[in-house]
Amino acid sequence: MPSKSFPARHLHTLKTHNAPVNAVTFSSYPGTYVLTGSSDRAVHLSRAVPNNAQKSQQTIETTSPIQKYEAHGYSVLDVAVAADNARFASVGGDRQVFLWDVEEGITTRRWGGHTSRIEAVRFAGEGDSVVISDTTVNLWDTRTRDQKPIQSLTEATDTVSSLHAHMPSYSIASGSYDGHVRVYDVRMGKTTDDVLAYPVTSVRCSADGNAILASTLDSYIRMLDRSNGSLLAAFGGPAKEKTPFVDGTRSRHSYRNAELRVRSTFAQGDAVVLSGSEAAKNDEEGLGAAVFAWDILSGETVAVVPMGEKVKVVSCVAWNEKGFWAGGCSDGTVRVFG
Amino acid sequence: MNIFIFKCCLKSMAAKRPRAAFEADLSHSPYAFFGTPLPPLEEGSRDDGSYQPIWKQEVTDERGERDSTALLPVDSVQEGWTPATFVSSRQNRARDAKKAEQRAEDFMDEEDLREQEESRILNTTEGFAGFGSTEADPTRRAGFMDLLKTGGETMGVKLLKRMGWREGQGIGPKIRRKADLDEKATTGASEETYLFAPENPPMVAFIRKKDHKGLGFTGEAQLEKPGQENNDEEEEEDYFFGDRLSNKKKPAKKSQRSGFGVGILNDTGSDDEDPYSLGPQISYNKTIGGKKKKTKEAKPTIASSNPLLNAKPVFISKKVAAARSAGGFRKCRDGRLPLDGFVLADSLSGLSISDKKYEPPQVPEGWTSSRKSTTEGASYVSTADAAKASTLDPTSRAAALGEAQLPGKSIFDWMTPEARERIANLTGNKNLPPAMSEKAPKGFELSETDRRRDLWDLVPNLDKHTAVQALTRGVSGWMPYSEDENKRSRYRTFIEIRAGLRDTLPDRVPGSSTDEWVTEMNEFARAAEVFKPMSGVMASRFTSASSGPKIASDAPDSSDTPVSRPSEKPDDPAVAAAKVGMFGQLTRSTTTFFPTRLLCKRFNIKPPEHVQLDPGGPSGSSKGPGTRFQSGGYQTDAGPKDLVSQEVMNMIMIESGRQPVPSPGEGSAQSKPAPTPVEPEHNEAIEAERPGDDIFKAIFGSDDEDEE
Repeated sequence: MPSKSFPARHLHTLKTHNAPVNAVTFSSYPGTYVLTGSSDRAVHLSRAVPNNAQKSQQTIETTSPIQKYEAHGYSVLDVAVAADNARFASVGGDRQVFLWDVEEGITTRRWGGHTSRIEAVRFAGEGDSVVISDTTVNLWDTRTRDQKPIQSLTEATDTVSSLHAHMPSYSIASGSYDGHVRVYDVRMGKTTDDVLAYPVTSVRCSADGNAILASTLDSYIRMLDRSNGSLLAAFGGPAKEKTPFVDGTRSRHSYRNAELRVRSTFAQGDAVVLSGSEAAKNDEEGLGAAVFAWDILSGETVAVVPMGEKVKVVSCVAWNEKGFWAGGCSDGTVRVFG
Repeated sequence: MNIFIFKCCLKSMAAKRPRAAFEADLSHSPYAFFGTPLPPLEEGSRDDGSYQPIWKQEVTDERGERDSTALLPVDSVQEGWTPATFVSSRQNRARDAKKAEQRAEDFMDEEDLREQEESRILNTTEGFAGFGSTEADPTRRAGFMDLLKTGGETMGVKLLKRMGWREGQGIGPKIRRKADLDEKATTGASEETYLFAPENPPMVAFIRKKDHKGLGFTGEAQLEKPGQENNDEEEEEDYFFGDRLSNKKKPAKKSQRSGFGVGILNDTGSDDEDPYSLGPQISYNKTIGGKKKKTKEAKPTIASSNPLLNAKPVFISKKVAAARSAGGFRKCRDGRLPLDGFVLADSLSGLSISDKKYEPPQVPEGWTSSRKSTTEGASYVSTADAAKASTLDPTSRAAALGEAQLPGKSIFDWMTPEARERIANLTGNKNLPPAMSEKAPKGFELSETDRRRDLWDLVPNLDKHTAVQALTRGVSGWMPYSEDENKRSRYRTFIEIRAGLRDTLPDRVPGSSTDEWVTEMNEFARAAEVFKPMSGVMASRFTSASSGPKIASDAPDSSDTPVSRPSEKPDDPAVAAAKVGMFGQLTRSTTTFFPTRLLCKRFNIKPPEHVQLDPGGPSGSSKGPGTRFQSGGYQTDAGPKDLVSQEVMNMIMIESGRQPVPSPGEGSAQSKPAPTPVEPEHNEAIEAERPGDDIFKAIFGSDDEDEE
């Protein structure tokens, strides 16, 4: 897998939102559609790659989504799709969790009870309980009409920025701005708490559940061993002299994550780490932000995909195992590469 | 009887129509079924003799006024009474409001009215001679005060004047008498007599007694409304004339509209009227001698030109003020006109002195000065600018002046280019002299020992005690940098040096620069601080917050000092370790998690054992030690034991005056490796006995509480 070159051809640009995109999620298998949540308070469902995109040399632009889901009163901060693609959940600044019916475009459930804005949502337990975060991680039950959460995980002392449910190991990983990554193992009844010292903006479990990928605001993406918390690899880091070489050309971009919630993810069968980035602090050169990809084993930069001058941040990335990936940009566009 | 039959007929005739519809059509009596029905008595009213409650009925007298004296509608009223239709007060509020204004006449019978008519006197108002009723408009009067004389001459006065009468004189033939001068004059007065006009006699008028009240009764004055007291004053002054001169018809007291009698709620609050008193309200002057004190101040004279002089501020509208100020002149503050030839300062604004008056003279067209500027052409250059323009530097200047070259050199001559770069970055000066990186002159080169000493200065300081403790920690089973054996050995060398066990310079990574070496040593120093366990005395007193599960699992050998084990990571070292980059043991902490049963059900898994047995939470200390799941995370990865050689460790201990640490062969609990994997069902560590009471005593210090 790692030998395969990283796909970096720009296939599709979604210009449906008019505010920064905060969340990008491919629909569950086969990932034909992409759900995007934006600061313009809407969730849009669009086709990830149009039919003719593979053949045409030009990048296709889409300006209107297939479906708009509008119920949030504040910006949408995260979107999660259920495994059966029938429902999805969205959270945002209005402190509510909405469970949507994808086809009908209405909210089937609404949960309140959070005291501040919610930054992450995830399905867990075979699309059963929705996992939500806030300063407390609330686990909501989608099967009953109960308005109370199944359980609240209150260990975090600051807003939980990211969640990931790893179902093979029955565990929920949460990353918080208090600098901790907590993994709740439901089966073992064990919470492991890893201190990263810097606010955590993204947490992902690898497919086998042995590693945790965590982005922190010190511009590092760290891969920790889940069993003992030791550091397996670190990516990114402050701008160094040895700027990565991509395709023989020296990229002037450097990974930066110091202020905003930038998401990272595993890609290409856990062989590559994919992450959005912020633009350089004083972007004098007008480079804009880029998406970075690192090889997990060697730690070397596989690809740097610039997103254009106007993009200050690529806040979220999503990987689809069919070989596509999408990045949500601060200028309201979602770009699909493949 | 007849009517009844008719009614029955009617009913049968109109059987098809419902009665309600029939009656609705009728605006008249339903019984007028022959001929033309009489027009209704009142437009829009329905005179069908329908019942109206008493409270709706109104009694009016012959003038159509409501008669409040009549309590109930009775037939004794002349034309009988006509029940007034109920009109919504909502629509006719204005009319009602008019009605509410009642006059005194409303309450008078005929006799009273006749009496009132008799008492009425026809005369003119005072202001008649002037501009009509000027009293109503006093301000206007004040405005025209200077133009018009109020109360001009009447025709009688004019005639009298024609006949030689003058004002102030009495009327009649002239009287011959002595000149009435001052008293002095009268004493030495001549007997000459002159003809004088008769003295003006005071007008004598008698009050006509027109009522039957006692003499001197002034009861009616009491009935005056308080608002009309100003008129009282005039009356008091010329009481002699009585109220004959009262030209104003006093408005009748506004009576409250009320039903029957006066309720206590209608009480206006004045003490004078007793709403429950019977009979005519006669009130006497209750004070003997002297007039009642007038609290009211004298009314300000209307003619006063300056309202500010009045005690009470009076509102003067802008219009009035404008009218007053019109007329071309303005008065001073004190009401007087300004002195002749002077203008009030306020009006000066209009008479601004023209700016043109003192303008400089116009320079004629085409005029040129006969004088020339000497500095013309040569621009002025300051010394600093001239110095800047010079390209010479001190050396070339010295050469130009023929001076001998100075032996001094710049510090930059010895600097390496890197150091210069650093300074340039720090200061921001890009134009620093170039670095020459010259070597020290012969004879001044650093000897090898000096260089070593300099290197020693670079080794970061670490407290010896801390270093010893860090070493102890290493002996007790754990040392950082487990992933890099070489680095760990360098770290060990470093703390051994700082503990005073070695003299050599710390190792350095082959091929690394001095900077990197120093950076690594700084990291080691921080790490040693982080790994420093708590000092023994404190450690024996305190244990970590997670003591509940620890007590059971933490004392494999209670005879030893089990609590001297360093407490599990407090938060701060964890953060510090994470910042240093040492993830793993230090940054990892494990706690028990109690998923709810429903959550486990949703995850489709069997709940963890501790949840199954103890769903209430982690409080079940009464359970047997084996039933509770406890994390044994730290036991899984005990590091290699021989981080520091045993002899070295013993030496340290002897030096610091402690017992040597027993070797692993002696069965020390702390150095016992525990590489067993975590088994939730069975764990060696937690099956241990409860530690002896002496441990608790050692921790908590008191025997008294030891009642368990």
